[in-house]
This record gives sequence, structure tokens and C-alpha cells, in this order.
Amino acid sequence: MDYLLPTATDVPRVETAHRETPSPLNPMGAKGVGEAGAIPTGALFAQAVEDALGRTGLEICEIPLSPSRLFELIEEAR
Amino acid sequence: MKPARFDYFAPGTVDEALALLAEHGDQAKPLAGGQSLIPAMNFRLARPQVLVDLNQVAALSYIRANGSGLAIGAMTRQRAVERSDLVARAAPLLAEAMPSIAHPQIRNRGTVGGSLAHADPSAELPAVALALETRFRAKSATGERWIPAGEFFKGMLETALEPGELLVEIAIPPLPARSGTAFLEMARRHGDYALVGVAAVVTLEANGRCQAARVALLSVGDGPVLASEAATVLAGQAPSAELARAAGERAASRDVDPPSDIHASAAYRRRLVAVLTRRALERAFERAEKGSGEQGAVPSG
Ligand SMILES: Cc1cc2nc3c(=O)[nH]c(=O)nc-3n(C[C@H](O)[C@H](O)[C@H](O)COP(=O)(O)OP(=O)(O)OC[C@H]3O[C@@H](n4cnc5c(N)ncnc54)[C@H](O)[C@@H]3O)c2cc1C
Repeated sequence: MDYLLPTATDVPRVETAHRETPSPLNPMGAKGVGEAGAIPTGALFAQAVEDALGRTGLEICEIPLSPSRLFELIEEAR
Repeated sequence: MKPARFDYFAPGTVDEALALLAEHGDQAKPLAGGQSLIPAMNFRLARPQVLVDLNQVAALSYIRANGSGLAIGAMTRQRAVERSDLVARAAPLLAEAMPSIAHPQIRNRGTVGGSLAHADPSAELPAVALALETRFRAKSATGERWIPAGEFFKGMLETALEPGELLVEIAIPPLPARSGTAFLEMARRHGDYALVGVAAVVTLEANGRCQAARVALLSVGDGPVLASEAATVLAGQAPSAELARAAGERAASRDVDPPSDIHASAAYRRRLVAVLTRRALERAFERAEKGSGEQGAVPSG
């Protein structure tokens, strides 16, 4: 009951870009996809927030990034 | 999950409902919109043996002018209050707070009396009722009494209502001339319970100074909290951004001792109290100064 799942309204606008980087580790250059794409997403958001906050020296190493958590981090960085 | 076994009655009148509640004592619970009680029963957090369904009691559903104030029946749906022109005119603070309660589907079922009797510390209506000095009319098989808002809310999900007693009506007195009100809250998503909310009422003197202020906060304690320290900062002072800020800071440091939970830390809630109180006061002062402006309008007479 207390677990806030992200819903459709929480999804940011997505822009898709293609870049080919064949894997050197097998003859076909193939890579696993599946859930691989899900792994960096949290870190990506965290870094975007770090960047948006400018030079606070703040380093976000954990999600979720609730307003409350962000407030604590900013207070600590001050 | 499914609820524990219970007996069910659907009386058609207040007297029948009161007789059933008297007969079954603390085994019985009134059922209003069911938006809090039914989930609690399904989770088996509540196991009433008898439900007295009030949904057939048509006489408990109304919004009436009461002098220049308002009288609202306990079974009035939250959505009806939200859409009422009379409420918008006579109690704009109430009208402004309504859309923050849950979602339209829930407000279509949820009632004014149910929300107030449930007394969730994160609910909007208890704070609004406290800010507006609402009076609560309670009836039992043996009589009737009026309870002021300051005595109605007793703590976490607790009110002054006794077993066998029904909340039948609330009476909201009119605001004096030169009053302005504002409601604000912070929630992660629209419809979620607020992390913090504030209901502000200010009244100005003829010379423009603040005569009186009532600021009620939600989600910061066991029930709605009246920020009386903030009110003393405001009394007798000329409204300004600096004054609103000072009152917000005072509310955060002196009026509340907010809890930490998985939604927000105590420190964050305190910060929200300062910021939201400041913003609500600025808005309420502006509306009071506009006098007969749309919001904060005072019914004539
Ligand atoms: C998903 C969801 C989100 C919600 N979000 C919010 C929110 O943001 N803010 C908010 O304030 N609420 C919220 N609610 C609660 C909602 O507003 C409920 O409708 C309200 O709290 C209870 O009103 P009800 O009429 O449904 O009462 P019920 O659930 O029927 O009853 C609640 C309690 O009050 C008692 N009771 C009811 N009527 C009377 C009476 N006349 N006299 C004496 N006792 C009575 C019942 O016995 C029961 O104990 C939410 C609910 C849901 C399901």
C-alpha cells in the first residue's frame, strides 16, 4: 500500500537515437539486450539531477530519488 | 483479501440507524462511502461485526445556507461539495481543498462525514474544518450535542464520537469581512495523500493589518495541527512577504513535530511546513485585500 510505483504520468518524454557498437567478443558482434537497458537508467537519472544542481559537490549513489531524499542530500552537501 | 464476517443493516432514517448503533454498541460501525472502511476491512485492519450502512439515509445528504454560513449533511459526497456553487461562495477554502482529496472516482463515493469521522492525519477535510472553526453535530439514540473542531479530533484516527454516536452535520460559520483563505499541499502525485498540507484563514482590520489568522496543517502529527505560534507572529502586523515568511518559519520550528516515514523525513516535512505556510499566507492576504474577489469572497450579510 505504501509502495509508490511509477505510473504513466511519471515517464519522461523519450527521444530515441541509434548508435552501433558491435561487440568484439563474438563473431557476430551481437549483444544481449533484454533487461540490460534497464540497468543504467537509475544512474542516468541520478546524474542528470546532479548536473541540474550544478556545483554542489553532491553525489547521488542511490535511488529512488524522492523529493524528501533529494532534500536530505542537498542539505548534507551544503 | 476478504473481510471477516459481519452482519449488514441498511436503515432508511437517522433514527433507525441510531437504534441499530445503540443496540450493537462498539461491535457496530457506520458505513458511509466505504472508501476507507472497506479497504480496512479487506485488509482485516478493521473487523466490525455489524455494519450500519448510511447510504439509504437520504436525509443526511445536503448542502444548505445557514445564516451566511454553511450546513453540510454527513452523507454529502465529497464530489457534491467540490461542485457546489454555494460552497464556492460561502466557504471558498473548502472548495479549494476538495480536488486534493484522492481522485474523482473516490470523491464520488467518499463523504464529508466519513472523512471527518475517519480522522486520518493526512486528510484534507479535518485541517480545513479546524481552520474554519467548524462545529460538529453528533447524534445518538439518547440525544444530540455540538462539538467544536478543536475538541473533535483526538488523535490518530480518533475523534470525540462515542460508540453509538453518528456525525450528522457540520456547520461552518461565515468569515468576517476582509477575510481571505488559501489551501495548498504537496503530494508526490496528484491524488496521493499529502506529505504536508496547509489551510490558512486570515482576517484584516480596516487599516489593513492582520487581525486574526488560523493556520491548520495536515500530515505533520496525529491529527490536524493548529499553528497557534504562527498566528501570534501575524496578529496586529501589516501583511508582507517578510511577515508570511516569518510566520512560516515559526510554524515549522514551533508548531509542529512531524513524523518521519517512508514518504518523507521529518526534516523535509518541516521545510514543507515553512514554505507552504508562507505561500498560503501570501495568497490568503492577497485575497483578503481584494475583498470581494473570487476566492476569499465573503458572503454579504
Ligand atoms: C486510493 C484512495 C486515496 C485516497 N486519498 C485521500 C486523500 O488524498 N485525502 C483524503 O482526505 N482522503 C483520501 N482517501 C479517503 C477518502 O476520502 C475516504 O472517502 C474518506 O476518508 C472516508 O470517507 P467515506 O465516506 O468513504 O467513509 P467510510 O470509509 O465509509 O468510513 C470511514 C470511517 O468513518 C466512520 N463513519 C463514516 N461516516 C460516519 C458518520 N456519519 N458518523 C460516525 N462515523 C462515521 C466509519 O464507521 C469508518 O470508521 C482516499 C481513499 C482511497 C481509497
